[in-house]
Amino acid sequence: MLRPFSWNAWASTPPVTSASTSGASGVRALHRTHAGYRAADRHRAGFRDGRRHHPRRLAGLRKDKFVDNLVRFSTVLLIAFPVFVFGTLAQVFIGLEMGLRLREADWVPSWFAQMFTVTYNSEYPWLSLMLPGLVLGAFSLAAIARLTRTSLIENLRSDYVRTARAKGLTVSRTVGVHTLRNSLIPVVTYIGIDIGLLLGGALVTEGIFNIPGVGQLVFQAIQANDSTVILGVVTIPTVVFLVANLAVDILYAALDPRIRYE
Amino acid sequence: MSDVLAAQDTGTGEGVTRGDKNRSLWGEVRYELMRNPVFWISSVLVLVILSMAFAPQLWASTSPTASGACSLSHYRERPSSQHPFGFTATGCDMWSSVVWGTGKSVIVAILVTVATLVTGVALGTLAGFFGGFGDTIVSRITDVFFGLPFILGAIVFLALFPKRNVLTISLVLAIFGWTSLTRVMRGSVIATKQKDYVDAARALGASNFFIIRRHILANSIAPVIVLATIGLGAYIGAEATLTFLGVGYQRPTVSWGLLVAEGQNLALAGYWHLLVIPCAFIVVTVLSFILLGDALRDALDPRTR
Repeated sequence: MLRPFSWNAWASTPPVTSASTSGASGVRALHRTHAGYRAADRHRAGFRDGRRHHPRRLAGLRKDKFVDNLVRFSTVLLIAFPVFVFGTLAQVFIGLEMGLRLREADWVPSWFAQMFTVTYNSEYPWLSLMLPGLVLGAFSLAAIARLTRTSLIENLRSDYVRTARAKGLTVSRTVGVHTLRNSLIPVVTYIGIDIGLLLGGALVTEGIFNIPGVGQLVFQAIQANDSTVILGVVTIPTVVFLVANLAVDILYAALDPRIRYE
Repeated sequence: MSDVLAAQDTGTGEGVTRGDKNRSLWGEVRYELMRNPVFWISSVLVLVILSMAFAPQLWASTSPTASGACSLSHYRERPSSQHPFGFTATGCDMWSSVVWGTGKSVIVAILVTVATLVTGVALGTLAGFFGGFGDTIVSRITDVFFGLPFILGAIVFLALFPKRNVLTISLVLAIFGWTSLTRVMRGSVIATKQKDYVDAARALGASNFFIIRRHILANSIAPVIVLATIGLGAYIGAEATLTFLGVGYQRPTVSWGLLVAEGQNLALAGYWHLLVIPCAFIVVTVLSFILLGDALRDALDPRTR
């Protein structure tokens, strides 16, 4: 009755969206569309007006609701900002305009104003790297949010979720312990790849905020044809990349107990 | 059982809404798109952007590169009622600079997308359908490109060209862009070729070429179309990034990346419009292509909706 979706089946059978109320047994007709699966799943799992029992925090749980649409749109907006656009705008409006006011204000401690910076400041390396870090991480933030959402929605339809609910586990435990944990596998994969790219590819952010980082070093070495430096500087991110991906592989087994490395 | 009941109901024609009609895959996609407001908004924006790219005189009568169009006496003038977007750092009208700069980014994006689409679909289909040694080669090459930071690689390549134009920038972007489409196409073809209808066609004696043309391509192209639409926006952003870094378009060409680059320092001195206006055009353009791709994905693959 509940057939898993496939391109083939979908293309060959017309989707039935209108609910049939004329069934002799009075059973509510199961819609064959995607939304129908969810309604049917909820019905069978025992929460008839499932919406009220859903927690209201994560976008993936509140599909097509306001929070979900908000998260979807704001992540698309973040993705649409090329790094150099976001970086220059953040530098001018957050670093300069807000930073100037904070530095002038008496009640703001001077270390706090260092977080709103136009350039990297070697006296406050951590604080002055916060704004560039935010700019650099914005794209990954949006990508991870979307990935988690898609993965969570996909997994919420699994049999084990229904079983967990049917056994009487609370929604927060079902989602937090069972579903979210399994849904993190594509997210962790993405993070593993992203670490390498963030490390070596932070060229634009480093350029805008004048950070003497790996990307700048490689860029200068390439322009100066300094192959010794290029070799050394490319090797270190590669090693970090490999270690990160090893950690990701180990995390798979920690996240999903069905995965075992013999 | 109850879906059988529902199916019988639609057969009698009672209570049939538009959504119940028997449609082909693409008919269903068209129906889904028509009722999606995001699709309408983004496609109107895309049409506006394309008309700016190919017929800028409709939007701004004088080109900023025409003689006498710019005057240093208007150097970085702020927006006024006559010129609502102000003037650029070189004394050109900002609105006409931005409009006439649209084409430079859009043409690169279209060239790169066409090039990557052709390579990706061809290589991905061959690698996915036939497998074997060729598949291994293609997969390993895409793996190598996957590990390269795109911007660094593009800088190295573009630095080789002393004079850069539409073709050199497109070429470099395509060199770094073809792998993602190839990967997706390959995966999609592998999933499609295991379907029963492919076996049925083969049992009926269809040749490999016929199966690819008739069954594989039509049923595996959907994710590639979505990715290519999003790619149009991504390449516009990438071109602007490279130009901003100084390895893309060069003066006297008018382009968005150059406008941002020359506005950056002046914006720190308080001339915000020099930075905000070209940035806004870049963001809206990239956003509308991404939203269009998202709407297409929603229509093509209901699982991720």
